[in-house]
Amino acid sequence: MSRISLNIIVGLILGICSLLLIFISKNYPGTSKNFPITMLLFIGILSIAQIIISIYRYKNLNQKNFEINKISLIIFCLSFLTIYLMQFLNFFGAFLIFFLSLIYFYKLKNIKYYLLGTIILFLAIFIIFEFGLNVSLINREFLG
Amino acid sequence: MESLDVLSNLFSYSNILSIIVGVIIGLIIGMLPGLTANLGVALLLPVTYGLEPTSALLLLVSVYTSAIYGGSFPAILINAPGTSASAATALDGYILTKQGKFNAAIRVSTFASVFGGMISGFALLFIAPPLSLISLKFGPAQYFMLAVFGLTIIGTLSSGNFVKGLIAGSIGLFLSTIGSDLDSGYPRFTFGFSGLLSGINFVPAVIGLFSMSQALILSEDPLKTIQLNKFKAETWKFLPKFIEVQKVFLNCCVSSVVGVLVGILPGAGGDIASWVSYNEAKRFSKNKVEFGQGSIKGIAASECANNAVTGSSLIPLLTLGIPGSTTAAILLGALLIHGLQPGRELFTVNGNVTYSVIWGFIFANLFMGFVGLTVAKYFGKIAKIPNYFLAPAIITLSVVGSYAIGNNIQDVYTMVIFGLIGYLMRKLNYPPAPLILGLILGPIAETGFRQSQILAKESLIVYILNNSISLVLFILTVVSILSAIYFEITKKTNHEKDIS
Repeated sequence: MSRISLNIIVGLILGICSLLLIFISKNYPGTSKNFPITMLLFIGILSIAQIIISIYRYKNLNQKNFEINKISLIIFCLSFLTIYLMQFLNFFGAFLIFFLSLIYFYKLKNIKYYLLGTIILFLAIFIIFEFGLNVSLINREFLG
Repeated sequence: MESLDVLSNLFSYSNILSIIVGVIIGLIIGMLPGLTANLGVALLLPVTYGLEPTSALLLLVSVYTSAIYGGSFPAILINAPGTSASAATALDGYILTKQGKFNAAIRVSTFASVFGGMISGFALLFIAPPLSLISLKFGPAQYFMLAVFGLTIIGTLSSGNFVKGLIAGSIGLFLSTIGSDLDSGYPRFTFGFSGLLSGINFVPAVIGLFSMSQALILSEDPLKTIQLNKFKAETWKFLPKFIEVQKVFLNCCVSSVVGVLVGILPGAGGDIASWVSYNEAKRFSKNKVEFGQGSIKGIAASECANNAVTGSSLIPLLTLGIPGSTTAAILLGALLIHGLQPGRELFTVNGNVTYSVIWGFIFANLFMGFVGLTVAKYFGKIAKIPNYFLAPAIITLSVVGSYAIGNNIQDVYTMVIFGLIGYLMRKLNYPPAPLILGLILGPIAETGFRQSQILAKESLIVYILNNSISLVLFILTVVSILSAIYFEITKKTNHEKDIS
């Protein structure tokens, strides 16, 4: 998708969202609605400005197409899954699976230093957080 | 007696350790192309929860200043600036490396960075306390205008697109309203989620926006490796030569002043300072041709200015609560976490902490030079850490860091969601810094706004602008917006000229 179209779509989404949220916040009591409504109005106006700028400013310019890398999305989903798994395994168990699965997704061939780095990282986290800062990473009851 | 208190506080074991650890971590982060000072400070923010305020702030400011300095290593040695602030350094630094004079380039960049950093530390020490007196005159209207001005200026200067910067800042301000209303207790925009009642914790948001999103960016090119030029370790000379210092000393003095002045301007960071200083050094040089051909004066100008920004960007932060740079915006969060409110109180009631941090910052700059010259020989090994290990390591540290805030899994989910938001924002050219600033300044802005509403007898606008400080802040806000529009138009014109 071209950046111009994307700027317009993002502007529209922001505009519609701010309108919807203004309607929701109208029911809030007293002065609690004034500040959020002001901000939402501001976001709405700026979104329209962004759409206009996108149409008039970039129409003659060569813009790079917008791309979201597939591997970044996979890493994001894996991170989300790992955090969910933390509650059933524990921090180190879940992240060991995370690091091992990345060998497949990154298509790594020489994994000796990768595994060594992972062990050193885990040890450092264990010493700093579990011992130094009393953050419970092994006992999964606290991770729920 | 007070000076002795500050010194005894500064030279405690925990504070010295914070400086040492901060300098080393900052250097490593700066040396790795793609990792920034923001990422380092954001990642270490949760670690500071368990520390005393002085140690915590010393750790973060040490990371900040040494990461900026560390960025000069990849700029000089592999023509890949570790941080945007070192981009100007690469112009002459890499030429010197190609000529086999990398050691001289590193020595000069170290001297200039330490010089600039220390001058900015002294500027902070002497300018901030008297400036903080202004904060005593601040009421609700002034605080509201201050928050608006802070957001406007960082929104306009930190990005290339001021409308997107303002949108990001406004979204941040809006996000700060999520949760129970401070006055009525009414839940706002929680949509039935009890976890949102206490609002969005900005620490996981900072980690997500700056660290997690950076890890996702690094993941795009996991097998990327850095090509290093071979350099002989045995030819390494540790200290700068007298003739080199003599040659760049005047440059360093001028660049320090430029860096300090740019740093005080809210929103203008090290990258602007280094380019302005480089151009000025070139303009006033008798031998302009040497710039861009491997001039040590060029390296000194750029490196001195970007490190001079680090201390001076803390001046508006500590005195008025306006961050002078993106990293300073994260440091504002650190101050608030440790119960330190920017303003006069920071130099009176909490003077022991503040002055210890300022002196510690000056000491950190000196120590940074020593460590930098020692580890420079091992730069090759550090820079070779591949993205396929860096990205998951940053994600792991982001998760454990956000979990450590309150042993709460919800903070981790907040971090991951903000990580995705940050990634999309970077892809769409929306700067993440104004969003975080909005989230931090939101409660101050809303309180000022609502108190002004109550106090205003007639018109709210008339009440807010009915005093000299608010009026000055309003004029500055308008000027910053108009200047941003002017830069946008001139940038557009230049772009069109380039294309034609």
